[in-house]
Order: sequence, then structure tokens, then C-alpha cells
Amino acid sequence: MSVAKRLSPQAVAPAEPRSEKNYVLRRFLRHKLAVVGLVILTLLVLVAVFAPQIAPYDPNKFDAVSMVDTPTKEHWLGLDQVGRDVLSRVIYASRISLSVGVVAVGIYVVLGTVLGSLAGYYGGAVDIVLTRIADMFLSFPQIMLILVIVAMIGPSIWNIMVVLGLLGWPPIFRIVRGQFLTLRELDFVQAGRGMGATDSRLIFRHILPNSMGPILVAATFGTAQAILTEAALSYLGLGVQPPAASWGNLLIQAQSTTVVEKQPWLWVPPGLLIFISVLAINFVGDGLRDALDPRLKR
Amino acid sequence: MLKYLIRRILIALPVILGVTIITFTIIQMAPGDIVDLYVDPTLSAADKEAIRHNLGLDQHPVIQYGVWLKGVAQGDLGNSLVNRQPVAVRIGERMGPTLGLSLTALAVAFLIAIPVGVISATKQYSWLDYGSSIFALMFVSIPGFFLGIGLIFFFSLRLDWLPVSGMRTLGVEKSFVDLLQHMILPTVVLSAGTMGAVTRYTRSSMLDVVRQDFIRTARAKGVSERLVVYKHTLRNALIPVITLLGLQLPQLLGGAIIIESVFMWPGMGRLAIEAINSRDYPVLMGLNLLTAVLVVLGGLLSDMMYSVADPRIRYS
Repeated sequence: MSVAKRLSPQAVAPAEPRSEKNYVLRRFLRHKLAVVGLVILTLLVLVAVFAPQIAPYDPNKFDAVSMVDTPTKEHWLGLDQVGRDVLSRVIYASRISLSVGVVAVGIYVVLGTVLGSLAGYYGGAVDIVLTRIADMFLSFPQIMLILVIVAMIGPSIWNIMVVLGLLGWPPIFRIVRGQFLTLRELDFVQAGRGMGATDSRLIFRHILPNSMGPILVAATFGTAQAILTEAALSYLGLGVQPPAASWGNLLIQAQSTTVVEKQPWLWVPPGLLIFISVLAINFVGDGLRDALDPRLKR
Repeated sequence: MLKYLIRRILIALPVILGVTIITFTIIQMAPGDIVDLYVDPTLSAADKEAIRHNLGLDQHPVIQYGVWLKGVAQGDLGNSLVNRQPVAVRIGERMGPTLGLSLTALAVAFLIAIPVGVISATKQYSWLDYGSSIFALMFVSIPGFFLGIGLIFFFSLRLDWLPVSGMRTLGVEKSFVDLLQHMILPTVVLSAGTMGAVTRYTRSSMLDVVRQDFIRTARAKGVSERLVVYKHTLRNALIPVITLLGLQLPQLLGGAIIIESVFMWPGMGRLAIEAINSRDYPVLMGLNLLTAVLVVLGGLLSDMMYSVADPRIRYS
């Protein structure tokens, strides 16, 4: 089987089991911004993974010898107030900033999917109670609740991940519940039931796989949102705590007007990186939504 | 309509109650209280106990919550633990700046976003469409505080056109122009996210309506393109956009909390952070209660506007 043959659209027979996946992939690749976003995101993830190899210095080591506060050949972004290499800190920060987003969203996707499946499949009192709770969380400026919780239980990387994870599930819950309400009445599910499939088989083999598209799209946009929230919390001093570096807490230095005016190299790079990574993820989310939305098929 | 309103408010009450219970529980779970934080550490344990007793902090949490709730039912939000001022007064003096900023940002965002979204949809796949889509996505993706710092850097520090922070220039007589100058940057920052979201929403709503049969009918009977776009399509496309007005309110209030810190804006967001840092729970409870009420009101308002814009929707 030649590669060229597999790539040409005519070669994909409609009956081939992978054709739907190929179709989605083709639609995604046609979305140029989404591809650009994916490339940028991959680069950022690589930087995060290989931070120890890329960073020129130890992000927590103080350079007592060369007390410079402007960029030099040795320190491209200069040193911070206590003499740590800013470039190394920015590189290491990508690890924390990206992983907070991914872990938080991972927690709430699981939570939202489980609760949404329960509510949508079984209905009744469970459904009513869960829907009420979800509505309550949705109708409130979350940042307020997050601020209070994080301040009270103590700000740290883990607490941020857990709090964002525990509070973020309602949108996923709504999507999954809605999908279950529609899908559980459809013929193929009824047929499965008639053939004696158990509840868990119906849920995990028949209904959930059909809901993956919208969940994936929501999770992608959710990751962008979670990265923004972590950055804002850390900027307010209620997020990731120094000496650990996140893009948000590197911007704490910009609370001083002197730093803002005289040392832009300290605050522009971490801010730009938050912006670029969130934008890249949103581009990917856009592409996924267009590729997975059956209504847009042409 | 009145019946519907009353029912909606009755449904909202347990939600608001739930929010206050959650907030209260979290505050109670936190180690340490205001007496540990603020009172002279040389005081004896007995004196500290006496202060706690005076503030009512030595009672069981359930009783404390009961006392608070009873006060609220009688229109009394309690007193701040920091300076014994009534919470209503402390929040009252901060509410104006926050609401002023949020509502201005809301208006600016919608006034710019709707026309841009409409143009984007009518010229689908043109460079204008791509440009505005990319800008919309950029506005949604940029962290508000970073945009704020960037704008301060350019417009306040480098160009010296606008003030760095605050709501008024100290020592200068109160004037509208002064206030306006202080408002420009925070308003831009706060409206950016909403503007991006509404632009995208308007565009897709327009494209949804254009595909419908009655638009084809209008075109078929020879209605001019102008009328098709601005009367038939726009009017119907705006209906779902209007609901966003109410839904964006929590977003804006949440955004204000962070933006106010960047611009030293004397609003509810900064009060919240002060109250969090000093464990001033009556103020925090009051703030949470008020935001919950505002958000519920926003939702109600958008529902009502929905029924005005779309005669097919009647609430009973």
C-alpha cells in the first residue's frame, strides 16, 4: 500500500472503517489557523518537556557575581531582583503553566462525564439535583469563589489544579447529559438494549463514544480558560507560589510601575507566552469544532 | 409575565442561599481568623478570647451563619470585622465604581462587536472576515492583566496621554473629563474579552439565520439585499445575541476583580481581595451575596429582553 494512495481522497473507500476519522482529520488540516496553532502548541510542549536541556541556567540559582539588571550576552532577559536568570525561569514556568491547565481540565472532564452520564442515562431525582447544582455553579462569577477557596485553603500548584478541576465540571456535565438524552432513545441504543446489553456496556460502548466530539472541543477551550485563570490568580499572588515559577507569577514584578517602564524584558515575555499559548489552543479548538460538527459538512 | 417573574425569583433564592452557604463553609474551614492576624500578639489568650466573644467568633459556625442570615432577612449585612463599619456602607461606596466600569465595558463591547460580527458574516470568507475573526480570537485569548500592563506601558508611561491608575487625580477638583480619562484604559481591557466573544457569536448567529427558508423566500420575492440583511436576517440573528447581555455580566464582574487590581480601581474587586487577605468574612459574605443577586437579575433581564425581541416567546 503506497502512501500516496492512502493520502488521495478518492482512494478512501466509504465503507472503510477509518473513513470518518480520515474525514475529520482532513477537515481539521484544511483549517489553516488550527494547524498553525497545533504547531505552536507542539513547540511549547517540547520546550516544557525539555526545559532542563534548553534552559541556560538553574531557574532557582542566584547569580551573585554578575548583578546586572539589563539583558546581556550571558543573560538574554537579564536577572530578576534576587539575581535569578529570567530566561531560565520563563522556560521552566511553561511546565507549570501548561500542566495546571491540562490537569485541571482532566479532572473536570472526568467528573463532568461521569455525572452527566448518570443524570442523562438514569434521569429522575439524580438528574434534577445534579442539574440544579450545575446551574448554581454556572450562574456565578467563578473567579470570586475560586479566589476565596484558594486564599482559605492556601495557594499552591496542587490546590489550584484541584479547585479549578472541582469547579469546572458543569459545562461538560451539560454537554454529556444533553447527548445522553438524545442518544439513549435512538434506534442503535434501543437495539443494543434489546440484545441484552448491560447498562455499563450501553453507556461506555454505545453512547459515550458518540459524545466524544463535543467533549473534546469543550475540553480544548477549557484548557485555554484554565491557563488564563491560573495566570490571573498567580498574578494576584493567590496562585503558584515562588520560588516555583509560572508565567502568571513572573508578572507579579510588573505590579511595580518602575519595572513596567524601565524593564519590559521582565514582564513582556511571560505575558506574551500566556497569550500565544492560549491563542494557539483556541485556534486548535476552533479547528476541532469545525471538523467535528456534522452540521457544517459540505 | 408577573407570575413568571415571581416564579423565577423563587427558583433563584435557593441558588443564592447555596452560594452563601458554600462561601461561609469555606471561610470557616480556613485556619486562623482575624484575631490571630490583626490583634497585638502580646495580648494574653484570655484577652483574645474576649475579643472573639465580642465579635461573636466563639459561637458555633451554624449559629454564626444563622445570625448572619437573620440579619440579611432584616436588611442588615453586619459589620466589617476590620473597622466595624456596616458592610452595606463599605460595599456601597465600592459598588458605583465597579458597576460603572462593568456596564460601560458591556455597552462598548456590544456596540462595537455587533456591527463587526454582521459585516464579518455578510462578507464571509473575505479578508475582512478573516481579520475580524482573528482579532476576536486574540481578544478572547489575551490575559486582561497583561493587556492592562501593556496599555499602561504605552499610553501612560511612554506617551503620557492617560493616567496610570486610580479613578481620580488626587488634589484636583472632581471633574467628568478627569474621570473619563481614568476610565479609558480599564474599559478597553475589560471589554476586550466580551467584544471577542460577542463578535464571534453575532457572526455565527447571522450565518445560521441566513440559511433559513424565510430568507430564501424573501430573496425569491425580490426583496433588496440590503433589506434582507438588515431587516430580515439581523433582527432574527440578534435575538440569541441579546441573551448574551445577561450572561456576560458574571464574566465582567469576575474580570473586574482582576482588572481593578491592575489599575488600582477603587471597586468591589479590590474590596474582595482586601477582605480575603484580612479574613473579613462579613464583607466577603456581603460581596458574594450581592454578586449572586446581580447575576440573577442579569439573567432575568436578558430573559425579559428576549421576550420583547421575539414575540413568539411568551412567559407565563
